[in-house]
Amino acid sequence: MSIIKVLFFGQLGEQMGSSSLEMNDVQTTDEIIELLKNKYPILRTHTYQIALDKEIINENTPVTTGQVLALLPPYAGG
Amino acid sequence: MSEHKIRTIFIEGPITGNFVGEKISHHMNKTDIGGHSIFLGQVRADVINGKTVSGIEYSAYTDMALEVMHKIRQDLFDKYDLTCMHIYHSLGLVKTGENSLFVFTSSKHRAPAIKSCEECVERIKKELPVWGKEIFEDQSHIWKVNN
Repeated sequence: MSIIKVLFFGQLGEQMGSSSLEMNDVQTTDEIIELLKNKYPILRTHTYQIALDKEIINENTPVTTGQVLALLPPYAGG
Repeated sequence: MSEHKIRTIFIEGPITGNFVGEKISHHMNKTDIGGHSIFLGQVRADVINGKTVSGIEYSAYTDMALEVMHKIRQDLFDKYDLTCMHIYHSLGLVKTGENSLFVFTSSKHRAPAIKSCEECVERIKKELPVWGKEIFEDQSHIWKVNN
């Protein structure tokens, strides 16, 4: 069973009322995102990139216990 | 160059003029440097829907941001003949008129310092996982997005 930590930053963290949660028994990043969207419909209306263990990913990726998935809304640094 | 260590770039609160001045002074004993380039990002009092911004509250995915910054730094050292490069970014509240980003590049001649400084700023804006809440004078806020 895989346990993945999910982090929410910026307006996502604010609107979801939490900056992190854990997902159990998940196999891929697409599966995690789909489960999150079902639980938190607000994610369907936001733009964000996805980072797995601090690397931006652009396609479905297998996950294993201990990995960290982060949802990153548009940046505003500088 | 690949020997650079990952170091923090984040400072709580604004980057002050004194801090910038000290960093410049630290380079006066480096006599192989012929030119510095400095960029300072400053918080603007934008008016959005009739409300004036009073400050920006910055937050970051710091672990990832430091890795991304490390990569940007390595790329720029590979691309340009630089003597040194220093980057500082604020976290927390920075009021209008105060500085939130300080990029400082130095080289033997002006061109590498100027070009790398500009490229560094552009890449920070685009690639660094940093977020900013624009806080209005009435304490309401919106989330800033870089162009």
